[in-house]
Amino acid sequence: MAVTVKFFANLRESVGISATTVEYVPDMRITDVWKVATNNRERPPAMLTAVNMEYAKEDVPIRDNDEVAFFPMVSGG
Amino acid sequence: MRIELRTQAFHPWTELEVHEERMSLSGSCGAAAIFVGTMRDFNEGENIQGMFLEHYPGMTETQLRQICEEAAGRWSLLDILVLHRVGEIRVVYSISDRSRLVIVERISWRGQQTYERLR
Repeated sequence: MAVTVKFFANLRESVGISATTVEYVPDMRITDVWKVATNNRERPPAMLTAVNMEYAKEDVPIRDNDEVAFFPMVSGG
Repeated sequence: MRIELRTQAFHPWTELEVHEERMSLSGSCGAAAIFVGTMRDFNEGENIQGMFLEHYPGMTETQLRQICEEAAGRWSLLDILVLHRVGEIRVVYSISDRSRLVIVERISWRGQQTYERLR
C-alpha cells in the first residue's frame, strides 16, 4: 500500500529528494501526498502535478501504487 | 509518426533528409513545415552559456505523442517527426502535408500546443 512520489527541477532541490514513497491511505488526494512526502512543507504558488504520467489537478483522488509527480511551471520560447 | 528524445547533439537538417528518404516523402507532399529550436545565449538580460533541460522519462514521450496524435486527427498529415533534445536544447518538429497553404498554421498550432502542455 504505497504511492511513489517524484520531484523535479527546483522542487527537487527545495524538498531535498528526487523520489520517495508514502503510505497509501484511502481517499488520499495529491495534496495529501505532497503534505506527507514533504513533511507539511508549504506548497509553491505555481506547481504542476501528474498521476501516472498524466497531468492531474491537485484534488484528484489517487489509488494504491499510483505514481505522483510534482514539477514547476515551465516557461520559455 | 516518429518521436524521439535525444541526449546527444544532432544535426536537424541531416535528420530531416534521412527521415524523408526513409519515409519516401519526397514528391508526395506539397510542403514540409519545420521548426528548429536552438539554445539562446541570453535569458532575461543575463548571458547564458548552457542550459539543462530536465525531463520526466515516460511522461515526456507520452505528452508529445498525444499532441502529435491530436494534430494527426485534426488535419490530414502525411507524417510527423519530433526529435527533442534533453540536456542542451535543440528541437526539430517537422509536419508534412500535401498542401502548403495551411502548413504554416499547422506548425504554429503544434508549437503552441507544446508550450501549453508544458505550462
